[in-house]
Amino acid sequence: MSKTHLYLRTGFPRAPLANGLGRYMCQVKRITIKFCKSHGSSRGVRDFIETDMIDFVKQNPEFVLYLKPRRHHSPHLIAEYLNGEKFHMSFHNFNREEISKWVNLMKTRAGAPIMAYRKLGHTDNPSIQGVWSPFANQDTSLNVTSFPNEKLSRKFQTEPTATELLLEMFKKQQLEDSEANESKEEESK
Amino acid sequence: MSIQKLFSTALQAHRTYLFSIQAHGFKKDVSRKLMELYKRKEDIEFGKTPSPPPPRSSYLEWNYDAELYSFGKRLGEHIEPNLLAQSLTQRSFIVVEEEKQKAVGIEDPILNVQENTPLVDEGKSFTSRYVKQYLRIALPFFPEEGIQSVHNYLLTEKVIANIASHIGMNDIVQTAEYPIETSSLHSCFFALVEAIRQSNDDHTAGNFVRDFVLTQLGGKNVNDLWDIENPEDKLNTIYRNHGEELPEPRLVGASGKNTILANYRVAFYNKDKQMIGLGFGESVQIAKEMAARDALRRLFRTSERDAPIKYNLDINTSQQKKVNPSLEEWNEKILLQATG
Amino acid sequence: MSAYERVKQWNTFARIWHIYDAKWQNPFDSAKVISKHIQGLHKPIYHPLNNCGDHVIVFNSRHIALPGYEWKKRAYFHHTGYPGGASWTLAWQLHEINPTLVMQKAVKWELPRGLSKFGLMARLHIFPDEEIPEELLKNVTSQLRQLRPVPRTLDSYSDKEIEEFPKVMDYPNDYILK
Repeated sequence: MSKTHLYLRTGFPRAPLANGLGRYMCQVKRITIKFCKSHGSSRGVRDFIETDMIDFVKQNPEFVLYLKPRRHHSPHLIAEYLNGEKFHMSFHNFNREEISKWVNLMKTRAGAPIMAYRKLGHTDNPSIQGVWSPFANQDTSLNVTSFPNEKLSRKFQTEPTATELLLEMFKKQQLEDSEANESKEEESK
Repeated sequence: MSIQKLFSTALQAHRTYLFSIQAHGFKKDVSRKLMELYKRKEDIEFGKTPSPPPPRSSYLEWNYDAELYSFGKRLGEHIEPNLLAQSLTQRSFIVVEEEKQKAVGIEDPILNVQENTPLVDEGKSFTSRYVKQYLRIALPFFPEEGIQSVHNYLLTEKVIANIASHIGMNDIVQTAEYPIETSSLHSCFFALVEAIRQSNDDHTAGNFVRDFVLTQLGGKNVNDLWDIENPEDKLNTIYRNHGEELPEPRLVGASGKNTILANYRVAFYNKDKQMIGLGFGESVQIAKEMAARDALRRLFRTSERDAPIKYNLDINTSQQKKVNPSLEEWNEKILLQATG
Repeated sequence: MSAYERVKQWNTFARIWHIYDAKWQNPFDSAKVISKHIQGLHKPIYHPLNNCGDHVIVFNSRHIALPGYEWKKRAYFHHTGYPGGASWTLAWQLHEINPTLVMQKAVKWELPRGLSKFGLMARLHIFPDEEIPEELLKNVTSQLRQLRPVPRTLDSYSDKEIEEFPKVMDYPNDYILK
């Protein structure tokens, strides 16, 4: 189920048999083109066979291209992939350029069925620093505290309270007084 | 009464009906329904397993020589055509072909291909040597028992058959049985490795093994393939080898002790009070065991935070690399000196 | 799933028990913080279907502080379902009947509407005073901070502290306090 298609399956992209991790391997085993020798719907296929096909096959020896003429049948393409999947499409009334584009696409695909990808990548090592847990970044002193704990419960104090300010002023005053007294005593001596 | 018998008379009757041009108002859908039921005659619903699709080689569009050629090109290796054909032919196929020819009347059966049996053992031993060599170089801190376990896993029938079928050997391999069995794919893969080795050299065949067999470790944790019994004892052995004090386990966290979802965290600390391993579990014993395993993984450089195995190393199989130390004699300092 | 992956999952989805002192705190503001922890919104792995909420033990709910005239004027409505079954209970009356209900209802109002509310409320444990069962206290590994500072009461100062405290002014000796 996806937003655009009710019946389109969803999945994640995976390379078959770690393709690319070692060497890259063309994923097509064989392509079969079925066409009619005389019907008008196969004209594009016939043009493709006469012109572009030979160069295409010479440049791509990794898979076998079968041509299957079938009388009174619409033209089709069947691509068989290494993971066992078959891709089938109709070439009815296609022209030469379209067919060569589609055949090229078949070569570059893997056998994964058409689906809506939930993620556009895959990694075998998703976490570098380690997977999060509720204990991550917690101070280990929490292991040896007994709860409920006064200090941890109290609200963080950002500014001193009026009472504390008063006490500070008082202490400061007392210090000044004591210093004044000391200096007076020294003077008197 | 089977479905075939049920509908056969109707089918036959309708076939004449269909082809009769004089018949007026014949029902198009009846024949289609019957054809669909005929296809479904071996449906699971009626207690039978569906028959496998016909073998690809039985199709009209099949050219065995072209298939072999493209197979070699797809792998990116130059393989001698005779050797390639030989590596993909099982003994059972040869036997069946000989019997067929004898049945027809040919006294001395003539066959274009030989069986792959002489190639299989050679290929197996080469693959085994290469895999072990590669693992020893890629994982220099991993004990020999671990390397042996990983090697055993990589060369199991299931893994090799999976690789072989994803290369495209399913249709090309010539065997008597159909559908193809994993044992055949297993043997043919090693025969193929040997064919590549004989057509080129050890280095090329080694790269082939690296790119197809070793990359199967891609998403896997190498520690899961090797079962260590009593990880705490093994950790203590290693610290005795180092000549250091044995590490101490400590409880590092616990949540929900009285609940069924209790989670305990245990860490091992060495003499300098550095954490060497952290483990968690639903009980203190499990957490302790996992912590010991984590400590071992960190020592062997196979934990999650260590770099994964490289799949692009060039190995020279003629060079004899010393066997990795076993768990009992494992010593980090010696290994660090060796690796430099 | 290997043993390693299993314990990793167990560790990530572990449930933490928090404790919260509701003494002299506004229950409606506290409920916002508590509901967050109960749903699991404070965790990066949050998803409503993940069942990743933590437990919160609230104590001293008898000593909560409602702002302004709330004690006098906030009314809790209840209907039994039968005709003539409507009742309006003021906050102070409800508090007398059950000193945990004001806190409980405050948290309930902060949670998302739906069936998950029942499971989430089961993770809230409210106690009116400081007596908490031992087996629940053993589970606790975290404390939630209070939202308002709790000043010292005059009773908590010792006689010596009162004497030494700096006085800005003092009553004259012959002043008679009413």
